[in-house]
Amino acid sequence: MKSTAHNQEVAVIGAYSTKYEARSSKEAYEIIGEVASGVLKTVDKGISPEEIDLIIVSNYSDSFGNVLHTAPLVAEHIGNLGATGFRVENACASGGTAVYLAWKLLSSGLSRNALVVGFEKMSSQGFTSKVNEILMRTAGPEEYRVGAPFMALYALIAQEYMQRYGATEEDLALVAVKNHENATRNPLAQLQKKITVEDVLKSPYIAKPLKLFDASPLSDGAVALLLSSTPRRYTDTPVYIRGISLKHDHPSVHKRSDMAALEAARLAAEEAYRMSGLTARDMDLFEVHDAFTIAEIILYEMLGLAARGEGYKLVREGVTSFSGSHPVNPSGGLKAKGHPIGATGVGMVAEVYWQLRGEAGARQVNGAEVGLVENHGGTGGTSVVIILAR
Amino acid sequence: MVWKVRVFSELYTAVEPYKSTYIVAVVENENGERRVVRVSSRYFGRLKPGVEGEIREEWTVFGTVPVFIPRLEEKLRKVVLVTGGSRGIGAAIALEFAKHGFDVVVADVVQDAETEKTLEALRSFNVNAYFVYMDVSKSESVHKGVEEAVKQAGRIDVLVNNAGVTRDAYLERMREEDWDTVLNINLKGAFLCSKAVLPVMKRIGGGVIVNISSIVGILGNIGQVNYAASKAGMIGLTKTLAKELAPYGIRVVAIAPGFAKTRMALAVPQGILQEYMRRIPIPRLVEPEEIAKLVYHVVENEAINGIVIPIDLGTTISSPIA
Repeated sequence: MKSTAHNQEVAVIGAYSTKYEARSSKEAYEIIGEVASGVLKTVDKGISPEEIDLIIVSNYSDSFGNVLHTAPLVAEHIGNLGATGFRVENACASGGTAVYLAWKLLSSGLSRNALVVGFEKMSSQGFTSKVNEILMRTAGPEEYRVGAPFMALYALIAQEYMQRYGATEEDLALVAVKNHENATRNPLAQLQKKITVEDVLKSPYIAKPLKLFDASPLSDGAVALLLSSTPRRYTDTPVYIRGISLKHDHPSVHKRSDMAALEAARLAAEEAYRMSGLTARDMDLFEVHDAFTIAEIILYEMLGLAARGEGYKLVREGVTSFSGSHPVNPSGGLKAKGHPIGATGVGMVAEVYWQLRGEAGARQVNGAEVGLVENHGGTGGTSVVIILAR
Repeated sequence: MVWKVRVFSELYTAVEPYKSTYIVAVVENENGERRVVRVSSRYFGRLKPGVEGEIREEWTVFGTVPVFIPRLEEKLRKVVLVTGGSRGIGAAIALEFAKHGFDVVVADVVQDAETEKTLEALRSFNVNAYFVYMDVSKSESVHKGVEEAVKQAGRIDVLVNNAGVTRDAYLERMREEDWDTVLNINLKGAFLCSKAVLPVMKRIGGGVIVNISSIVGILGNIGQVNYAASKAGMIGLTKTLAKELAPYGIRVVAIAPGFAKTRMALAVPQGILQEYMRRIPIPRLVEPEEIAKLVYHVVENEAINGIVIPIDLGTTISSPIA
């Protein structure tokens, strides 16, 4: 194995999440405090604040929550100003990046126990158009210059994919329907509401061919994780990081040799599978970045669940539904669980942690032992893939 | 250099800070180089993969933007829908647009000999002219009318909310039904028609709504509390919609004519009309054709938005005698 520098086995030993909401009644600093204190109480054998020597906060933009310099805030909340902390930003992959960095520092022995906090309070912006402007900053400079919002860029990806492989708007709708159905079993989800293919197809176009119901909602929420390089001291059922990788692609869609691919995700998955010695077939569940329906379909292919150009067939055949052979986004995904950007990647890891410990309640995937998280930023300029196992 | 559209997306939501909708496209040249470009919303529904064109760097206050100009041969037939277009100011407006090559939809509650005469006059300018039945005060009728208009004419570039009635009386004698009738036709009608054409204009990437208000909506007028309120209401409607719809490329403007030479004005007792005329700088009636020319101008002049333009021979600057 290539990762000889990484000697310590790193595992998740605690997780805490707020419910994802359209508009939280709490301020950003309050939800940060809630999850930071909350996660400490979830550790089976307990952990004292002094044992936490690393704090990483994930937040996309201070325009969503009106707060910066959050690491000392978290340190203060847990009562350990002696910890070392900082904030990371990698667009929508900020959460995955925070977990990646924690893993890197723990596995190399530079830190022992890490507290990762992800949050976003998008409702602090009053107008959707202003939100789009803030989100647009993650696009490549040429795409930003022409004023291409996120949804337009994903629409270009969708058009390229649909033109080439013959997927239809109805196939995209099936992803939204599936993930909404899954969210009805998740009390933490923002949109716990079933929808039909017709609902999606009748929703207005925002950026053709993508419609309102092809997009994830704007969300408020926070999640905290505790990771440790000596997990057995804190729990008898830790969830280990068996494979992890962070890869990049051109931030601009039009610069990619294949505009219908999410190459960073493919590369990150390849490396994470290699590290873990596992393949897509071994995964009991997937939590992937379905910010827009088309992304989930392409990710089936990038993560090795489907051959190139055949991802849309999986959702048609129900392979990725809750009761299918490879459930994808049993939590409801970004589409229906919600997408508080900085919290998203952290929340995906929390979700798989609960699933592998058998704590996922009504949405529990029976007998789940191995799960994969894919969290990407922008239109796929950064992708983090994490393979977790009991 | 020739560039070809590879993929594109029409945006139906406005993007800050540009406050506009447009198409984002990836174009490529024969060397396989790709560029991302913006395309004007006026090409909504008309762009296709493979369409050729050129790129121009366009200066905007937010920076220089590469804009793709598609080479599209087909000539657009622009369409104006005029409510109450059978006669009077409405018919004059319809004719002015026909003169400039617009296809015209006359929407009205009456279809009589005068309507036919108007349609015939419109067609003499070698444009298509259609009649649709529309009671502007009834939502269902407005929707049917707009649907029919789009079915026949294909699109609606300009809506002129012109249909209007008067039921004059002093407040003490004004019946509730007189108030309702005037407000429902003049004000609610403009609201319903604007709402019904919005999806059509969004789909074609823009348009203009012109509301025919009245000088009475600015100044008030004794015996016309219902009419003045309805016309003042149209001013509020105009200013609000101008803000709301600008991002979709839709401008909204109000015209406030003074007394015009129409049946409505001539119904005013002559003594009152003469007394009124003596108070204004140019003591005559405004010709419907003069109003029509102004409506056409505000449609063509893309810098005019969200204002009320009086066309009143100086009524708004006249000094009160009484």
